[in-house]
Amino acid sequence: MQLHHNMIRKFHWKMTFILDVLLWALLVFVGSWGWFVSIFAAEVLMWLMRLIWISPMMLRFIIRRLIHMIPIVIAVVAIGFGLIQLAPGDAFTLMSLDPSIRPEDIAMFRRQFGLDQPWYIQFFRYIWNALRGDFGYSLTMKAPVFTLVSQRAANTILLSLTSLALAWGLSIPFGVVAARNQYNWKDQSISFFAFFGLAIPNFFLAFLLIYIVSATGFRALPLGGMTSIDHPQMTQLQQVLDIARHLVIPAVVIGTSQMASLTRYMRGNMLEILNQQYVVTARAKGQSEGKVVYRHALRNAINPMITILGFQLGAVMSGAALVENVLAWPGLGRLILQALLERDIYMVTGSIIYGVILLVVGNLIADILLALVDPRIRVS
Amino acid sequence: MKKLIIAFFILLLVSGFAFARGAQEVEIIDIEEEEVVDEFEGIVSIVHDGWEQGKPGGRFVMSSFGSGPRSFNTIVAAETSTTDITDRLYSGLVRRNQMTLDWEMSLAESYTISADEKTITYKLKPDLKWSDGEPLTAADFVDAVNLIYLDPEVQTNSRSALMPSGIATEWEQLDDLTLSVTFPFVYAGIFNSTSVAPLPMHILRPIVDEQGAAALNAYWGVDTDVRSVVGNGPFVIDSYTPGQRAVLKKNPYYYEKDEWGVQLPYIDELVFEFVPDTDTQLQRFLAGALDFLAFTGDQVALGLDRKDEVGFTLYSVGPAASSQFITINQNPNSPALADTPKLEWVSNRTFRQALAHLVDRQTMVDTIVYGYGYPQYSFIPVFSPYYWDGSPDFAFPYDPERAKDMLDSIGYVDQNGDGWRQDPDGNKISLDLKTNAGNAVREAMGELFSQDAREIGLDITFQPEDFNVMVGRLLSSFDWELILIGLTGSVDPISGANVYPSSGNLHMIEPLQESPRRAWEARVDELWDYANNTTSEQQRVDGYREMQQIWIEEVPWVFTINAAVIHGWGNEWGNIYPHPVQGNNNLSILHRVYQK
Repeated sequence: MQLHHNMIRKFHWKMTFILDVLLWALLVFVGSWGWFVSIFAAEVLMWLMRLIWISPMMLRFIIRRLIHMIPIVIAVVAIGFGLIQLAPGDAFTLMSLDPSIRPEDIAMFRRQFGLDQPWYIQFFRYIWNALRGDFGYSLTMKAPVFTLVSQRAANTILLSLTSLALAWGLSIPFGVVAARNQYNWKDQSISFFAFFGLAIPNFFLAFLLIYIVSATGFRALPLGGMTSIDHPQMTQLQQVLDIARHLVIPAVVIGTSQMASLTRYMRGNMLEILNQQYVVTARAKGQSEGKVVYRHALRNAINPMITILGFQLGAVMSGAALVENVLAWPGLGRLILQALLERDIYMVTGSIIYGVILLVVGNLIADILLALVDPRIRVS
Repeated sequence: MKKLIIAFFILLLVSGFAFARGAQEVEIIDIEEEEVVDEFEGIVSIVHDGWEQGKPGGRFVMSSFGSGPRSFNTIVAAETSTTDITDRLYSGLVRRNQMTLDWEMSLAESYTISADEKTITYKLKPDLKWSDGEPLTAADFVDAVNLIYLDPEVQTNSRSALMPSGIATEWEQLDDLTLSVTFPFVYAGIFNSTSVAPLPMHILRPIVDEQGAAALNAYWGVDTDVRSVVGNGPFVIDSYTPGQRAVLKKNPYYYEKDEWGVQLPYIDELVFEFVPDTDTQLQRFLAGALDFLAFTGDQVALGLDRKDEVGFTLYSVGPAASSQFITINQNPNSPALADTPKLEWVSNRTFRQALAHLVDRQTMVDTIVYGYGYPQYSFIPVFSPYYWDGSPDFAFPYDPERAKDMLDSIGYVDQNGDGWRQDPDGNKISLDLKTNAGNAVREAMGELFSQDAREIGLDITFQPEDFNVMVGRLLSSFDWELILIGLTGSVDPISGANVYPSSGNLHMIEPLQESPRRAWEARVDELWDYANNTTSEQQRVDGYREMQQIWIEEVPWVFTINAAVIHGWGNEWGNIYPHPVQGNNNLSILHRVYQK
């Protein structure tokens, strides 16, 4: 009986892969998201479903965390809404100093966007709309916040992920090298650049690089932006190379600043582990240095880093407004900064919601990764 | 540790090299300054002597400050990053001639004015077309105004010009090519009011009929397919990449040909790159990636230095139309003034004139805008036909000694020897001057003015504050004493109807008065109607002349300086005849700019 039951469970689990293909087809052909997003969404959904068989514990954990997200989002929206209400003026204040606009018309603009209502009515109206999937309408851009965010989200994610990959790809090996060569010249020079990266403000480094490129007449790197003017006429390969070329400066700027602290963390973790007794034991047993470092020490040293990765994943969408501004990168950070400066309350609140959701989901992903990597941690 | 020191020295060397380069650049400026004789050395002054014959072709790339347009809909377009683009898409019945700034016919072929001077009848040019090839008729004006612009639910800035003194103009279609506009009274702004953009009613009419005019507020927004936007101007939008650029191409149906019979515009493609940082804009221009840049005073030295190497020319276009002034609150309902001796000080004309003597325009030009600026004396821009030439001589020059004498003459002297002046009742003369924080030019002006005031014993405290807080004081709480602020100007001051008459909401010293409190305000109100409720140009010039005189003499506010508008244009471009005013600026000549 027990055996039979297990058979059914295994059978079902493998069978679900057929559903994947069907779901892909459905989303790609019926949905309006594009093939990449459709397949991504389908896979997330299917793997969550498969967790029913693989690890019900994990599924319960994920669902609980997602439910916890709701009060967090509402609280953050309330705080964001409140703070903007406290700030003087609104999106139409600037207009009131233009002699060619009638005050009656400005009053009408305010009324149409509900800004003449008291703050609590505005707030609950917003929450009510948000619960129905309407994240508001930008006062200045005159378009739904969701549309505006999705126009730019991909650009910010591309930049964030590239710089994240750059930072992690370099800082882990750098941290290991620095720890293994503590206090000799390799360690010193890595530390020097790490502190240099920490000390120099991002926007300033961005401008410095722009200035150097402009002054030296080095035309292989563009002066900001994400694409060349001729981008639409290029072949697909040229388009990819064009974007890659534009990515270099922003990715280096953001990457180096993240790398700085990550390298220092990694070096510290590694040093601590290398002094543990089990590492000494492994060495005493005559294991090769490579095995000691990469099999025993590294895997343990990397665990604390994954928590940091969670926070960074959450920040992927928020971007780096100042760097985006200097380098004219068409990302979300710029959009949000502009919305803040113009007191575009619905745009700001809408982007806060996206930010919070990503932060919570990022942390969740980090927790899951941690559970996968570290055998000591079990979901409970 | 040794390596660290070596690295440090390498860094030193690199920065030393950078400084050495800087020093070389300075020498080049000196040589150039001796060569060219112009208003500003090394900068070409524009002479508006007529269009050159151009030839078709070319791509013109410029940057637009900020994150790009907020809409592609000309109805709701409000700020410059939007109108920079939407204004290229439409042409009105009339426009100002680029050389003379006089009104000329654009889409209209001719006009007649009725005997009572209240009705203007326009005849359209034949065979006008929208950019989708559909015919453009008188209905595209009349219905646009009656059904859309005048509908109170439509978010448009065009309504104000269509409602002089708050009364709507009456638009009527006589036949396919003829329309008439009737004003509620004899009005000088006839052309101003009727220069509104026509709308493609063959597309918008069904929407208005089905969903109401308010539905147009969100129409043709940034989420639209830009090729569906229909206009009748020199350009149409070809593509838009959010946060990056908009590409405009020539509209094949544009009505205008040049004097030699060549279809305008000359350029094939017009690219707006959205760059949210002025330093990056400058670096892009210096790298040759942009064909145009508006220079600020602090950037000019660098521009002069690099112009021959990069291949561009600097042009001085004239004083900026926008004004900067220090206004003196005289509102008895102001919490800052009511029941304090301050109200008496600011109400004293001699005191206000003494303050006017403290505005050191020359130092402001020299230090704040690096010499690239002009002193300003009148509320009307210098290039306007209504500007009074006598303003500079009539205005109060910078003269602290004279200011001291005037304060002495009204008994505002230092009675107790503490270095500060007191009024005859012994109250220390102390006022707050505010401006919006973050505007470097205004902050420097305010600091200079308050220093000069303190030197003659007036305790003027300068405090920049948040823009919206300041606007709140100015327009609703009236809780302020002195404010340094600016307004945009235009060729015809008629657009200042809510600024200069005492009933205006931007008549800052005491807005929204039911009847003028001060005798000179009553006179300005009278003159405003005299100058604007007429079609006689001479009457207008006379009316504005006296208004400017009163404004200078009574010092409701005192003007400071206008920055010089300095343009950098790539050397390969011709027909560079911009004016420093919206509607006739660098963008308004793009239909004539050509690649040499």
